[in-house]
Amino acid sequence: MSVPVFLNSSFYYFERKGVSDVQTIMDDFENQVLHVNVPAWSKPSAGLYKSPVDANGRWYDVLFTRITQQKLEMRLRDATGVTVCTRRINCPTANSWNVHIFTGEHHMHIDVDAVSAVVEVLFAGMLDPTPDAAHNKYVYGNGSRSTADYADSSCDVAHSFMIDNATPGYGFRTTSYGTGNYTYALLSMNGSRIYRPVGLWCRPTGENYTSRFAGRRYNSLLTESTLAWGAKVTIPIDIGLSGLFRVTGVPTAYSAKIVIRIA
Amino acid sequence: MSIPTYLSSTFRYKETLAVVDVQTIINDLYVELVTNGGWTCTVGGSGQTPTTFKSPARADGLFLTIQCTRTSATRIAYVVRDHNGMLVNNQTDTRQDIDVAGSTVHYFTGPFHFCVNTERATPECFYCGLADQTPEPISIPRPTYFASYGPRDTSGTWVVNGYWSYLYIMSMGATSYVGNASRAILRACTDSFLRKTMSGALLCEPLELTDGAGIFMGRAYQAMIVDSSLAFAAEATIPLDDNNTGVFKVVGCIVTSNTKLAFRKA
Repeated sequence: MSVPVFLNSSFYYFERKGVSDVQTIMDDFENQVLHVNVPAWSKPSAGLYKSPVDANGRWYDVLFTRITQQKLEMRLRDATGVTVCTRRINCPTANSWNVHIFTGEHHMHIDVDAVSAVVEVLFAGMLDPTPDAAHNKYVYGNGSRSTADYADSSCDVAHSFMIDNATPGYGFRTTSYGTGNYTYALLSMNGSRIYRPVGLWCRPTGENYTSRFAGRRYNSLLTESTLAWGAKVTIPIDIGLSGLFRVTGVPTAYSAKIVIRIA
Repeated sequence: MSIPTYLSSTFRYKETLAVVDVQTIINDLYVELVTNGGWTCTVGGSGQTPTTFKSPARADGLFLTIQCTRTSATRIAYVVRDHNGMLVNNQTDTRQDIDVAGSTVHYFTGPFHFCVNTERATPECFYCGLADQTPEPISIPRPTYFASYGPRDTSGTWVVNGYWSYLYIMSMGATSYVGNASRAILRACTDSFLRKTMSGALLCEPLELTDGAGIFMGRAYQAMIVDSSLAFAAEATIPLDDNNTGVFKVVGCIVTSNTKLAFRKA
């Protein structure tokens, strides 16, 4: 056995407390992807960050815009320049925030713990299609709010934006590990947690109605929802090898949460 | 990588053409289970009805029994019990038909699984077994037995909810086996979907069981869920690990969520 491909890409984790301006988040993100990540991302223009190109020529980019001191917008595009989604976070003015930034060559995720409010999130990445060949439906992303700053409930464990056929859109994309749209089975009978890949589905080019399996999110796993936000769990990823994962603030769906690797 | 436990048990496959009397099914099962499969016959025997088969004991001593009764030339009845004697298919019995003119019957058996599939205009399938709970210690807190909800109830009526995913199973904290609900982990999204990858490759997954309330209850041995575009009795060669493949044959349960069920034949 070997480490699965989707758990074998680079990963980095950074956190900062006492943040009160989204510019700090942008600066920390830039430092992480340009100066900490190996392989490094690139910065084609102000606020625009391009992920490393993989062996199949795949990449994506995210454009960050400081709307106000509290509002940060992320536009996500695939390598053909199609905008997959544009999403925002809106942090309260009352407190400073704790910011958690997960990055890697194929994924990025930002959790903003606003202390007095729910965690605001922005995330994006591309998918591991192994053992399938690379294809053009590999970019996913989401965020807590619409461009009107409305927390529209479009962002949770099950839902994300991808390109269906030729049209970007939001949908139920995460592989269900339950009996359909019901509680995911992520506990064994003796109470052990079961961790599952975060597989995503979308409609191939030329297909208007029927989704197919597109791949797995890198360095991410599903876990059961009694784990608190921010909890860290050690998970076996191969025989004799474990990784440390942190529970993200992506809202729970079907009793499942998402963890991302930090060590 | 090695072959998962649920695909490492022994298995047998047999096909008998033009069966016109279900006593032939009981006789075939005797050969498959008792003569060649390590099961024992505790009641009846070849040529007799009812006949009860007892599976080989698992490492912790657990087993299941299956009583097969010829209720008419074209109808067989099954009663499945766990090691405590509790009725798994928790009705009087579950029944299955063949055609008066004769039907081809497929048998998929092993120490922990049992499936009889009859070719008809609408194929009929009955299956049951004891689940693999690896890496949990076996029997902690208890084993998982299951049986299909169909194909026919004790009156011989076709079970409309006889989807392959509808199973009798005893949920956590329950005291009896209950059917008429999906108890299979479907591994899908809610959009209309094909169980295929973007390239069109089949996406074959284990038949995993749940209580429907967040508890994983194990995997059926030598069974796979496959895309519903595969025809009844179609065969798919599926990788078991890096070096080995197995051949799985689609059985005749009602489609659930664009998915069919297949059992291993080679």
